Amino acid sequence: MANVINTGISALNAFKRQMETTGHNIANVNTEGYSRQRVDLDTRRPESTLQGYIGSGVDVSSIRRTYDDYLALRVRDYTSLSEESSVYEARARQVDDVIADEAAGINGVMQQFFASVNDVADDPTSIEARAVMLNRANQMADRFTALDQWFTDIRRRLNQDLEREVNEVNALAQSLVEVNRRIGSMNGLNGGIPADVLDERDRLIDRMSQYTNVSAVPQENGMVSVSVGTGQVLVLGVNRNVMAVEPNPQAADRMELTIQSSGSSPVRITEQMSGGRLGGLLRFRDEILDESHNALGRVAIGITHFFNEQHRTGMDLDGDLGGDFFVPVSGPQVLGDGNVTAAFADVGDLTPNEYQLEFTATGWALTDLTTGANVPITVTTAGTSATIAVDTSAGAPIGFELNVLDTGVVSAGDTYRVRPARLGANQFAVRVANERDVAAAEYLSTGTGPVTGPLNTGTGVISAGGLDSLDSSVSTPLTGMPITVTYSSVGTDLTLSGGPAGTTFVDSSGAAIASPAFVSGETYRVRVAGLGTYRFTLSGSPDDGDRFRIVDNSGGSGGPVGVGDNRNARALADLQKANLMIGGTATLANAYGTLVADIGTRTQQARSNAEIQANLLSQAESAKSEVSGVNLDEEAANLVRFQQAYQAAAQVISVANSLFDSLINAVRR
Amino acid sequence: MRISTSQIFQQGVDAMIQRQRELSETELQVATGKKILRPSDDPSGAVRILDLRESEQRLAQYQRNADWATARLSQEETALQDITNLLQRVRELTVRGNNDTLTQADRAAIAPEIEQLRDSFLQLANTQDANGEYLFGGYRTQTPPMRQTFNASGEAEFEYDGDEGQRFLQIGENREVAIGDPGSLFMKVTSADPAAVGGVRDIGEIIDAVAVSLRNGTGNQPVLTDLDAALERIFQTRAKIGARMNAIDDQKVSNDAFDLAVKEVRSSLEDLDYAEAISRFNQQLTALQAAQQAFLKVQDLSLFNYLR
Repeated sequence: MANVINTGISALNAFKRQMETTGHNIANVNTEGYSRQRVDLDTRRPESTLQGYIGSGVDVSSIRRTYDDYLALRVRDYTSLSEESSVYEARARQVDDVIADEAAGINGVMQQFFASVNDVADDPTSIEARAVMLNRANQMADRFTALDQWFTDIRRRLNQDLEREVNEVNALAQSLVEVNRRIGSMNGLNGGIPADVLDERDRLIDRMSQYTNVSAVPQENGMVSVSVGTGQVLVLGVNRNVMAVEPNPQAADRMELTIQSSGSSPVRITEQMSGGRLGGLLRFRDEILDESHNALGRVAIGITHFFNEQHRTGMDLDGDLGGDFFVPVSGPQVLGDGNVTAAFADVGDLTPNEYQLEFTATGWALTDLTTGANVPITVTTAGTSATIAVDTSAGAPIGFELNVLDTGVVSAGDTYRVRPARLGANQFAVRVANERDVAAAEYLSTGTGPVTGPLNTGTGVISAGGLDSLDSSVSTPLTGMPITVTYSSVGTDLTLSGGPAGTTFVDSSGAAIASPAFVSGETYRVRVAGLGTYRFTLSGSPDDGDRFRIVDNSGGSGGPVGVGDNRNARALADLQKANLMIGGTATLANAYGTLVADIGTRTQQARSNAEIQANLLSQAESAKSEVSGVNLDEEAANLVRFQQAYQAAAQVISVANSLFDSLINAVRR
Repeated sequence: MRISTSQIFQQGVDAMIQRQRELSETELQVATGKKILRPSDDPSGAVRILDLRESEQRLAQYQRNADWATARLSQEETALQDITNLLQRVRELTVRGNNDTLTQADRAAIAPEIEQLRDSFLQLANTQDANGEYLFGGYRTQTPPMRQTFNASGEAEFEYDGDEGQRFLQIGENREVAIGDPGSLFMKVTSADPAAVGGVRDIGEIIDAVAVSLRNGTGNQPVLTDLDAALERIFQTRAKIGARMNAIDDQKVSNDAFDLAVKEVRSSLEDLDYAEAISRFNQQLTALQAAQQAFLKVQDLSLFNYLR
């Protein structure tokens, strides 16, 4: 009888446990990281009788979670990949949305600016047209600086995000340390480690994998160690290292990730980090933010440089040389101890990349940080200073040169970060403030025949010409103008007279020539002393003694100024379609277009990557959830099953009770 | 295969979000009428659109330049037409003055009209456009190009203060056109008159020589030759202007054609095919509604509903 009751009670207990666990499962149906639990039952050891063994009920052998380590690992890996992709994609899309936007991008304002330059060419004496041009120029400058500011803001927010996410990782690591400690204290106790604690431990690691790629190594006592990057330990049992965000020693606006174990100094691990939100942020910074910011600067530097170059050779409404139209960009940014400076070489060769200059045991070395490639250089030492330039026989030009101010104080390990194009958009500004100072005209013009006296008898024609380059020291007004070019049929050549002392024909390399041979359609160059080199063509067939003049268009001292001249304005407007950038293969707009295409392609790729990673993650989660997830229908069915079993067990006790009653009654009689 | 309750829920929600995202993308396309909303939708297309927009802007600029050039050339043509008429009147008067039936007094009586014409010529040579620029001054458009002085013997002398500059405008990708001619090109001719200073004479000086010859009763055959040479010069210049105006008209037609072609290409890259987009929109709408209904139906299913 007691056996029957004991058996019934064992069953009641077991089924109650099962129902409790079912209730626990139902209660946690919406709990993130919860693994379905089940109660394992064992048949009690039978009792031996003379007739053989008789069963004595059921025991709860364990309550455990259904969990598959491999599936959980896959979810973690895909979480980290998917988070990285989606963070990267979201940031890339921000840039993508803005750069080609008609209202925010720079294509529209650039076109409007060049259109206004063209309008000045149409009507060079119109103050209104000039005012519009200055307006458009300022508008364009504002747009560049606004975009530059926008990139700076993105960088600032990115730095804040890095810091916040690193704090999250540290908080999770701390929680894991505490869970590990609890596991350590429970290990070896009766019943082992509760499933819910294991779930909590794994949930913490799952959440870490949202921030960065983590690898978790289980230890024998149930604790788990976690490392980040390429094996940098974050949590080791009940100890942890601290991650932090610190400014790059060269570039304060660039945050680096470090990890520090107690008693030692922080180690930089930025380059080793991948995956998760941190990985996404870092990759966005390297692939999109830095490059876009620099590419924008490159366009600004291109416009500033080439427009200024042309504007300086022109003449304004008052007969003065043009000077700079935009404020010149100070030069490539060099971050370091100040012993190295940089200057632009050929602006058309600039890249959107960043470089690192390092003084090593074997001398100076220049690395392209974007491609990671070594840049071949030549070092020219002069006294205590040195010039470092690209060795163009071995590598592509990069558009700048570096100067070491004092070679005496450099020591191995000195590094400098060079951002050739970074400051361009930031410093972009219009220098010309007065409409009259727009140089729409050329300083010199030409004429056929002598000033007075008989006309030329031949059909020779001189082109309007233009000033090719300016001398470094200009002295105006010019003396002895006009310059007369006389054709002689004796030697079929040209001779020069007049002009400031020292004025002479020069060849294309600038070397003086006395009397160049006349060839119809040939381009001739005259170096006008105190001004620069003037280029024109002569064509037709002149007669002996026919004369051509190079005239001072500025009116010299007080003469009428050639204000109706639009040659320089046209040359300025033509810059819009000239292939000036990227080694002479792209227009200014193309240089920006390259950026748009690059960002567009990267964003497109990021979008499809993010979708793929999200799908893979969702598949991995499904697979894990197939094993570990709670299904309410299943729990309902189990509930019915366990309830029925419980009722049956209760019935067994009831039967045993009535049997006992019968026996008592029988004895009482 | 087991499936967890939260997974059923999540899948339903994910499906609806996906449908909604597609729907909102199409909605944005329909609202803006653009196929490419951001460069990443079609990077190479986006860059081509930028290039094409710049082409359109340049073509619009060329058309504006062409209109400007036409206006300038018409003004010049009008002024030269007036100068031609004036010279022809001078020539008529000269020829009439040569008539043997006239007395010296008759001849001298013609002179004031010719002097009047000489002064009119000065005004025409200093014609200004609507912006106050002198048409015939070369680059020196803000100083009167022609100056009249009188020497001790009362003869008019003309001084050209302009230069030989000529303003060009770009009216096509590879075409530029001169929008004026400096006075120096046509106002000065090599004189047939040995009395001409330096062997050359300005038109004004020729006219004055006619007046002087009529007043003095001296022969004016060489002056007549000069007059014809001057007329010839002006005809040549007018012919050039006509040729330029024709060239501008041609270029405008070809610019228009090119502009149309560019716009078509851009439209094909950028503009939305509404018929396709609307049908896509409807399809996506149906898909979203289906996903929502399926979600509701599945969420309704639970064994607990039957456990009473």
